[in-house]
Amino acid sequence: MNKRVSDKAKRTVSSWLLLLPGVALMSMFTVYPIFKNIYLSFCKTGFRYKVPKWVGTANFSALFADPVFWKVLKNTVAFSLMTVLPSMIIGFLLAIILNSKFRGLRFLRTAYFYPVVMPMIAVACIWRYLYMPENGMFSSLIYSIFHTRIGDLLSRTETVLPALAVMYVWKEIGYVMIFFLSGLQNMSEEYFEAAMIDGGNFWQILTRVTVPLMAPTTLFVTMIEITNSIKLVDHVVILTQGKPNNGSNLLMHYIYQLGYEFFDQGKAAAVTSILLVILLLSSLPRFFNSDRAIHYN
Amino acid sequence: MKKRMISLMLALVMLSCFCGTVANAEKTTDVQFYFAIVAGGALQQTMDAFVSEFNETHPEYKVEMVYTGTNDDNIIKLQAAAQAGTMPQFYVAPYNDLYLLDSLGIISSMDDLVAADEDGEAYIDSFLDSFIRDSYIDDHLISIPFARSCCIFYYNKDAFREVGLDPEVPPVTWDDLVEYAQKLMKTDANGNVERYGFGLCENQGHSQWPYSILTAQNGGVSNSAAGTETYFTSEASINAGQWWVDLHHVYKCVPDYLLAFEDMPNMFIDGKLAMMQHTSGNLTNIYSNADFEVGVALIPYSKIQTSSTGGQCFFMSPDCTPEEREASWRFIRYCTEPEQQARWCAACGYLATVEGAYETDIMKEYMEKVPGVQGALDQLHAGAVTEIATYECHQMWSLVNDYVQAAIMQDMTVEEAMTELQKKADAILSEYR
Repeated sequence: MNKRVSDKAKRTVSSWLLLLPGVALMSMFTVYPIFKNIYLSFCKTGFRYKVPKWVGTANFSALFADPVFWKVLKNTVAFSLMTVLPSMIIGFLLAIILNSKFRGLRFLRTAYFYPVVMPMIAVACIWRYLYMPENGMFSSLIYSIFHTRIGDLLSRTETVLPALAVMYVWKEIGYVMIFFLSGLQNMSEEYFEAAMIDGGNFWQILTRVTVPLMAPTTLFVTMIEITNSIKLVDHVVILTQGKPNNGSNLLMHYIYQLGYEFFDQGKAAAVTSILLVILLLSSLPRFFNSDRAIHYN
Repeated sequence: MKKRMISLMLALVMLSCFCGTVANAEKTTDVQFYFAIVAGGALQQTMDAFVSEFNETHPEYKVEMVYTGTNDDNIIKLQAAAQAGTMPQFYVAPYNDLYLLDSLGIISSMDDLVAADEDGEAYIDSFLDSFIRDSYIDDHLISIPFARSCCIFYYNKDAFREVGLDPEVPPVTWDDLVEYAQKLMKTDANGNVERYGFGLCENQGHSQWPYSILTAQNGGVSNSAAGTETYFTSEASINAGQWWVDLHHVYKCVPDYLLAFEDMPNMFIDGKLAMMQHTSGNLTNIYSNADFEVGVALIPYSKIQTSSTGGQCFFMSPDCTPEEREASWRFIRYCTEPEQQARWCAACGYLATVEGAYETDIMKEYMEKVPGVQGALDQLHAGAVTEIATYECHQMWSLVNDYVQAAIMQDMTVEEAMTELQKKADAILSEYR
C-alpha cells in the first residue's frame, strides 16, 4: 500500500518536473502577459504616467463611445467574411483538382503553395505596386481591356477592404489547399469506388461523399481561417495604415496604432482583451463540437 | 611554490593598477546617440562617415551611433530607454515631436552650451530661420536642425508648353493654380483622365502636412506655440479645407481619389500629375528620373506665401554629465558645419540647415545637377511654418488625416469634420493645459 502511494507520488512529481520547462515558458510568455494585459486594460498609461494608473472601466467606456472603435470592429467582421469563405471554397476546389494525377502536378502544387511561404510584408509590398493608381498593373490591365480608369482602389472606402481581401485570399488559398489536400489523401479510396459502382456522377460524389467526409478538416480550417484573418496586421501596415478615414483599420492594426503610435497602452490593452474574447468565442465550436456530427474514417 | 604564486599575483594586481592610471591619463568621453532614418543606403553611410571622421579628428571623445530603425521605432526605443534608465546622451528625432519628447521628460535645453561656446550665438545664427525657429519651447533652445526638408511646388514644364502656358511663369495664387490645373487636365477619347492638373498628399497619414500649409497660407495657425491648443474651427482652417475639397468636387483638377504620399513622385515622373506639392526630399529622385523639364517654384498661396518644413533634429537627454554634454555638443556642431551639411544634402536630398552650406563647392556642384534645390531655398526664405506640433502629436496627426479624408470623400461637410476634429483634439490636449 505504502509503496504504491509513493510510486504514484513519484510519478506525479516526475511528470510535473518534465512539464516544468513547458509550464514555465507558457506562463512567462502566454499566461502572465494575458493577465498583465487584462490588468493594464483597466489602467491609464501614456507619456505622462511613469506607472500605470488604475481607472476602472474608463478605457472600455471610452472605446464604446468612440465611433472609430465600432468602425474598426465592423471592418474586421467584414474582412473575415470577405476572406474566410472565398479562400476556403477556392482552396477546396484547388485541392480536388490537385488530388488527381496528371503531368506537372508537383509543379502546380508548389506554385499554389508558394504565396504561403512568402512573408506577408513582402507580399504586401509587391501588391502595393500592383494596386498603384494610374500606372500599377491592375490599373493598366483594366484600362487596356475596358478603357476605363479605376483610380486608386486603396484610397476609396468602398474598395479598400475588398482590395485587401483579394490579396489576402490569394495568399491564403495555398494554406487552405494543403489542409484539404491532406484530408482528401487520408480518405479511403473505397468510398469513392463504392459510390462510382452505385452510379454516382461527379457532382453527387462531391456533395454526398467528399464534402461530408471532409467535415473534420473543414471545421478545423474554418477555425484557423477565422482566427488568421483577425490576427493578421502586416498587410494593413504596408498597404493602407488603416486609411482612408479608418476605412481599412482592422482590430490588430488598431491595437498597434493605439499602443505604438499613440502610446496609449491602456486603451490598446482594452482592445486586446476584447480581441481575446472574440478569438475565444470563435474557437469555441471546436471545443464543443469536435466529436459530434462529424464523420471520421 | 605557494609564496611565489602570491607574489606573482600581487605583481599582476600592481601592474593592472598602473595600467589603469595610464589609461586615465588620456581619458576619453564616451557618448552614444540614437539615429532613425526611414530610408537606408546613402543616409546611413554618410552618418557612419560623420561618426568615424569625428572620432578620428577628436580623440578626446568617442561617439557611438545606435541605428534604431524608423521614427516610430525610435520613439518606442527612447521611451523604453528612458524607463530603463539607459538613455543615450543625445538622439535624432522628428522636429515636431518636441512636445511629445517633452512629455516623456527626455529633452534638455541647450542654452547653457550656446552660452559657454565662444561662438555659440554666431553658430545659432548660421541656421536658416525657417529651421531654427522650430527648435524652441518657451524661448529655450531644445534641438539643433539636422536633416530638414520643406514642402515645395513641382511642375512639369513640358506639360505647360503643351497646353500653351509659359513654363517660366508658374502659378502664384490659388486662383492661378486652379486655372492652370484645369488647363493641364488631359483626357483620352473615352473621357478617361490621362493627366491630372495638380496633386497634394491626402492618404497614408500625410494630410496634416498640406493641411498646415493651406491653413497658414489662408492666414491661420494650426496650433498654439505651447502645443496645447488647436484651431481647427478657425475661419482660415475651414476655408482652406473647403478649397481643398473643392479641388476634388468643384474644380475637378485633382485625382478623384485620395492621393497617397508615396505614389505621387512616380505619378509626377510618369507625367500623370502636371503639378504637385511634395517634399524637397524627392528633388534628386525627380530630377534624375523625369524625362521632361522639371520646374520648382514657390507654393501658390491665398493670403500669405508660406510652406511647411519637415525632417529631424538633434535632441539632448537630461541627466548627463557636463563632459558628456560637451562631447555631444561637439559632435552635433560637427554634423552641422557647412561642409558636412552640404555633403548630407548632396547624398540624401535633405536641405542643408546652415546658410554657409550653400556656398560650398559640394553644394554648388549638387545644385548644378539638381537646380530645384535653389527653388527650395527660395521657399525657405519666403516662408515655411511648422507642421502641426502639439502634445500627443502622433494621435493628433492621425485625427487630422481621418477628418480631412472624411471631408474630401464627402462623408461629412468641412465644417462638421473640423468641429468633430476640434472636439477630439480638445479632449486629448485638455490634460496638458
